[in-house]
Formats: sequence, structure tokens, C-alpha cells
Amino acid sequence: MKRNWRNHLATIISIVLGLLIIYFGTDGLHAFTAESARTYRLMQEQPAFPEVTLEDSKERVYTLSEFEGKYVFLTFIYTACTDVCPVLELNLKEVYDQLPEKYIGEEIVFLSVSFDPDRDDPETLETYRIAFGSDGETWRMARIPDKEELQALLEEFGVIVIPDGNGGFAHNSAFYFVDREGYLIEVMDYQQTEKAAEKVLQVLESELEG
Amino acid sequence: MKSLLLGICMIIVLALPPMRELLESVMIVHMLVQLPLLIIFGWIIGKYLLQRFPGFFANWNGNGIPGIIIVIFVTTYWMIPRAVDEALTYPAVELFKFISLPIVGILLADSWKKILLIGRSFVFLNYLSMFGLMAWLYIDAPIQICNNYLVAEQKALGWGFVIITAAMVLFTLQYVFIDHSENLPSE
Amino acid sequence: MSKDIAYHYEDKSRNKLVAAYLLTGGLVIGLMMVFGILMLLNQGGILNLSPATFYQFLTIHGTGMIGAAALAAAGLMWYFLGQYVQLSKKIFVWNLVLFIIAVVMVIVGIFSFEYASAWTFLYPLPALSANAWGTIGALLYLVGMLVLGTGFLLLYIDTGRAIIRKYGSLTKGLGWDILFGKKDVKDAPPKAVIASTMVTIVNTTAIIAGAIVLIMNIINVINPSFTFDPLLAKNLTYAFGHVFANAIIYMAVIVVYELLPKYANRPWGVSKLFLVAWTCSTIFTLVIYTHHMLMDPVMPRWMLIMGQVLSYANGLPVLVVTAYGALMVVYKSGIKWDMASRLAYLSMFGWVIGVVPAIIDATIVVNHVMHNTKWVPGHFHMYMGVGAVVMLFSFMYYLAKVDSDVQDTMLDKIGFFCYAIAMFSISIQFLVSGAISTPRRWATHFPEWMGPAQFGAIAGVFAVIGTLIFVIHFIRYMKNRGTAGSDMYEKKLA
Repeated sequence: MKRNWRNHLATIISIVLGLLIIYFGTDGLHAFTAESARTYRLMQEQPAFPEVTLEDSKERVYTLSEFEGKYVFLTFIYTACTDVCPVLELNLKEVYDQLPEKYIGEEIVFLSVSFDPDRDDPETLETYRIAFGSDGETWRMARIPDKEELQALLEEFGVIVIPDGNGGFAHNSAFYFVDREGYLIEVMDYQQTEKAAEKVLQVLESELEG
Repeated sequence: MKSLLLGICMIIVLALPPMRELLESVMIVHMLVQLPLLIIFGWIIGKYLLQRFPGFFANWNGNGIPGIIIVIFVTTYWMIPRAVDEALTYPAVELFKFISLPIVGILLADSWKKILLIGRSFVFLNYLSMFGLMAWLYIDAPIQICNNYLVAEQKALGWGFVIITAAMVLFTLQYVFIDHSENLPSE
Repeated sequence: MSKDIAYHYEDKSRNKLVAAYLLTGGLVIGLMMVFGILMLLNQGGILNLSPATFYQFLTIHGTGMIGAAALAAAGLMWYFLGQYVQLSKKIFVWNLVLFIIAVVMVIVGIFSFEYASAWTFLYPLPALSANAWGTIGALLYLVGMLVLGTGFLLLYIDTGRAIIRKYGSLTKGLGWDILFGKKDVKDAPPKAVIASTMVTIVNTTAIIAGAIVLIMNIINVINPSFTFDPLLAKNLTYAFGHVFANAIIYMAVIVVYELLPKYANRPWGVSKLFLVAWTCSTIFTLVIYTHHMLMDPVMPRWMLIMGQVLSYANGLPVLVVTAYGALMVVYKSGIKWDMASRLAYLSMFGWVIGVVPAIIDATIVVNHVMHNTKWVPGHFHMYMGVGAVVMLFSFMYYLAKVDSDVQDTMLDKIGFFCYAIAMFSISIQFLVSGAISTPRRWATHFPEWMGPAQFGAIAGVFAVIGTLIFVIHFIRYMKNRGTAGSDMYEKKLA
């Protein structure tokens, strides 16, 4: 026993060290993919929505101050997308429909931002808007014509967009929830619309009551 | 001494930016070529260190268990999809990769002999099931697991794991079916 | 001389460990019976448990029974195999320690965190419980099962290693060199080695499949957006669960092989037919889990048909050679009947009749109607309760006999009849329920389904009493361990 105390000590140290690697490598077992790590980090940091100029499907041009004092619920898409974006938009609509009408447009605005400004001109966005049944007012579709501004926003919100070489993009998808002051407060799983709606409602109601 | 230099040189070659670019741009090469190579060169360095400092390894890794525990944890960490992803995004994680995996190789060179047949079989069978799971995960996952790689690359990696798992199964089968009466394992 | 003493000492400490396995197994089995009774009382309308509680009981009952029976059977196998090959005591201890850790995790998961997806933990149920239980409960259960599997994997690696070391390879452990005519049948490995080889092969495979599906479930529980193919998950789950549960009887049957020849004072040689039977059962056991999937029309048709055909064939080869051999050994031998031999014989009887309902259920046409009824629990209560578990009890009495001077009493005899009749009644009750189309796994029953359940609950009480008597006898042995003396070891039996 005396002879191999070092071995026992080393065993214990290696277990502790190993657990620490796994623990810190996953933000305390919270995030096993870069995507979940990203959302986890975003919610810790709560970055501000950077200064960008939007151009929507009705060819109106404005900055985020257009929505000042309102919550913004947004997604990032491109209209030529054939896989996840339509689902993302349908799910956004589900959240939209689950919220009481009195809040829509008054307290909260929905926004779909295209990261493919070259192809998604207002005309294309208009077609897309009609296809998904958005009203263009309380749920707007817009592009950011200035590429530098677009890049800044994507970076700030941790949206990763990789061109796949065939005119499409691989990108990560989520719901983004921005508060009245323009700070990102929540990133939500776009596949769990009920949970997302519940969360939004909870934030709105707790604030209006309080 | 020669093996030390060889190992270190090869790791430096792997760390050169064009080499990294080459190996890391494709997911399956990143996971199944670069990472194993780092371990192998660690092993080569380990051969030298074992001769140079036998006392240290005998004292602190006498039965091989501490070493193999580190090996298991570090390789598990590198099987988490996020780790590979972040190696591309954060230099610190990339650096950790180039340090931790050669260490895995060094420890493996020492521990693999010491943990006896039973320990080797246990570790081997666990990696067999783990690789099977990775295959399933990467082929079957409907979502993009890594932000830096496309879904198609993910699937290719999954099939890579299928091949590894199949090879391990075949190895096991031949091991238990082929007669060992002549050359009994030394224990 | 000194070598003899050392061997004797070694032998004693080994018996102590084996006894710890059997005692743990026996106690857990007795406790799990209580949960079984509570469930039957609930289905019989006598108790009024909430459905959530019922499913928690269902989960602990299934998990506990399979786990405890497998543990005790592993102890039995280790005892006999250890007489032919050099096994590691350290690993044997580790398996027990890991088993106990696993049991604690599973119990906490089920009762403190209300986890209740049954012992089959079919994906995606662990993660999708409609808030009946949370992530922690599911994780405790799944990780607990993983810990349990780790212990058993270590044990089977050790048995495999030891068999390969002594006999050259696992195929030689199964006696293939004799089948291919390279060796004479009288040089065949002992029956205990053949059975252990078979179990080593099938259970190592099962545990690897189980590890994959368990970790996959864990990933899914932690992060629900990782989803997997449910059909593949189901295949792996049963490749693990069916094989692991099935292997219990192949470990336990070793006691029949070792005990009867000693009692009858006659050799029970290995024949070629015996080797063929064990090889067949090794292969069949690995592939017939598909009979659990007969109701999944998406499964490839050939797999289902294979499941049906091979299910017929699965248990039969080993069962036939064992039952026939057992009869031949005992026939006109003037065997002394005591608790151990009586239980061994009962177990053979239970195994033979337990196969009948199983074969009926494995028929595809019948399966579609019957598989979701209580017919199925009827089959496995007979097979396990009157077959495999009785072998374990038989071994408990055998060990007490060869390693102590504790005698069987009248009480033990009462226990035997108590248990035999009770367990048989419970099985019949399930089969009758199945025949009147009572669904399985339902917390509450219509009045017309309640009769058999009430009957079963009462029978269950007697089964618990019988088990208690067996366990008490075994505890008495453990207190007087080693009093038989090594020279008495074989003499006492004659």
C-alpha cells in the first residue's frame, strides 16, 4: 500500500482532471454542440442589436429605432432556401398565432431578416411574405443591403452562414428575442414553438403587470 | 532520442497552417486522420520518454489506471461535436488539441501494456460501442451538429465510424475464434 | 500440504463472495415480488394506486427482477466456472460493487424522481414523458443501467479471457474442435465451461448493444433536438434486453449440470449432440430478439419470419438435451432427494412447460393478437419464476450443503411447496388473463379482468413466504459457513 501511494494519488487526480475537462468543455454539461454553446453564451452576454439599415418587402427603409420600445422576435433566413427556412417561418407563424392579438404590433413585432441581400430584393421578399401569410406590418420581412452591417449583426448574434457552393447556404437556426432596448435576451429552439410562445408571453405579462 | 525528435517534428508539421488547413477543411479527415495522427506521434514520443524516465512512470502510473483514465476523458472530450467545432473557431481550443492529444499518445504508450488483457479488452469494447454510437449519431441526426461543417460531411464522417466499428468487430471475432493455445497472452 | 491449505483458504473466501451475490439476488427478488403483489392488487381493484405510482412499480419490478436474477446467476456461474478456469476475484468484487451503485441510482431515479418508463426504456420514452418525470430521473435510471452493464461487461471479459487462456478460443470453449472431429468427445470441456462460453458470447454482445442505446437515450434526454431512428433504437434495446434476460437461465442451468451427477453419483458426459445444442442456442439467442418486433410492420419481413422460426428453435436444443440428460442421470440412480435436488428438478419442469406459451406467442398470427396481453408476462413468469429463479434457489441450498453443516428443515420443505404452487398459480393467472384478452402494462382493469389479478396477488403472498424461507436458510448457512470442512466436500453428497 505504501509503495504505490503515488499511483493512487495519480488515479484520483486523473479522475478530477478528466471531469474538469468534460465539465468546462460543455459549460457545465449544458452544451454539447457548438450551437448550444453559442446560444448559452449569447444568453449570458445579451449583446445589443447593432446599428443596421433594413429594407423591407414594402421597400421601406429604416433602422431598428422603427421598433423602439417594442420587443422584436426575429429569425434569419434566405428565400432560396429549400430545407430549414420554410420550417423556420412556419414555426415563427405558429408562435405569432399563439400570442394574444392585443400584444401583436403593440408590444411585440415579428421580423424575418434575410442574409442573402443580393437575391432577396423587396420584390422577392414580398412573394415570400404572401406565401407565408405575414401581414408585412406586425410581421415584416427585410434584408440588410449593406453587407458590412449584415456581417456585424450576424457576428453579434452568432449566426453562422456558410455558402454551400450551389447558391445555397448552410446556417444555424433559432428564434431570437430582443427586448425594448434592443438587447438580445433569449435564443430559443425553433422546433419548440409552444415553449417559445410561452416564454414570450411570460416576459410580456410579467412586465405589463409589474 | 530519434523517436523524440521524429514525434516532435511530425507534430510541428501537423501544426503548420497549410497542413492544418488541409486536414481540417474536411470533417472526416479532421476527426479520423488529424486527431489519430496526433495520438500516434504522441505514442512515438512516449516510447522515448518511457526509456528516459522509467521511474516517473513506474511511480505515478504503476498500474496504468491513471493514464488510461486521462486517455478516456480526453478522447471523450474530442468526441463531443462541439470540441471539433470550436477547435476551428477558437485558437485556445486548437492549441489544447495539439497538446492534449500527444499527451494521450504518451500515456497510452505507457498504460496500454500495464492495464493487462482485461483492461485492454474493456477499453477496446467500450470504444467499439462508442464508435458505433458516433456512427449512428452523425448519420442519423436530422440537425446540423457542427456549425463549421455541412450535413453531408457529417454523414460521411458517420460512415467513417461505421467502417471503424465494423473493423473492430471483425478484429474481436477473429481474436476470440482463433486459437491462442500456442502463444498464450503474457500475464 | 501447505498448498492444500492455501487452496482451502482461497476457496472459503470465494464462497463468501458467491454467497454475497446470491444473498443480494435473493433479497432483491423477494422485495420485487412485493411490488408485483401491489400491482396485482391494484389491477384487482383492491388497492387504489395512482397510475403514476403503478408505472413506477412496474419499472422497479422489471428492472429489479432482471438485474437481481442476472446477478445471482452470474454468481452461480462464477462459482462453477471457477473450478475449471482461473477467474479474477477482484473483478468479481467490482461487479458486485457496481451493481449496488446501479441499484441505488435506479431506486433514487424511480422513487425520488418518479422515473417510470418500464425496464425496457424504449426510446424516446425516457425523454418524452409529458412531464411525468424530469431529466434527472431519466438520467439516474439510464446511467444506473450503464453502470450495471459496465460491471457485467468486466465480468464477462474476465470469463472470456479465462476460457480462452485455458481452452485456446471461445469456439473451443463451445467444443467446436470436437464437432469438427479434431478432438475426441471425451476431451470436451466440462458443461459448466460450455454454458459459460455461450453466456460470455451473447452477453458481451448484448451489453455492447445496450451501451449504444443507453448513451443514445442519455444524449436525447440531455438534448432533445438530437433525435435518432426509433426502429433502430428498438432493435438495439431488445438485442440488449432480450438477450440479457434470456442468458439468465443459461447461467443458472449450470447448477443442474453440476448438482445432479454428484447427487446421483453417476457421470453426465458431454455428447456431440450436447455441443450442437449449445452452439445452436448461442446463435439463436443472438438473433431471435426480433420476435419482440413482430408488431412493427416496417421491419424487414425476412427478419420477422426469422424471428418466428428461430424462436421455436431457440430454447429447444439446450432444453431438450438438458431435460433428457437430467432424466437419464437420475433414472433409477437411487438419488437422495433434498431441497437442492428437488428445486433443480422443479426448475427443469418449469423450463419445459414455460417454453410452451412462449412458442405460442412467437407465432406471428398469434403474436398480433396476444403480444399486448398478459399472456406474455404469463410466459416469462413461468420461465423465470418456475425455471431460472428456482435454479438459483437450488444453488443456494447446494452451497449451504457443501459448505456448512446447516440442515434442511421441515420449514424448508413447506417453503418449497409454498413457492412452487404459488409461482405456478401466478403464471397461470397471467395466462388466463391473456386468454381473456386482458391488456398488459395497464394500471387499471375492467371488473371482468379483475378476478385473475386478485388470485395472483394472493398467490404472490405465498411466493414471498417461500422466498423468505429460502433466504433465511441461506442466511443461516452464511453464519455457519465453512463448518462442513473440505474433506466433507464431496462425501456429504453421497
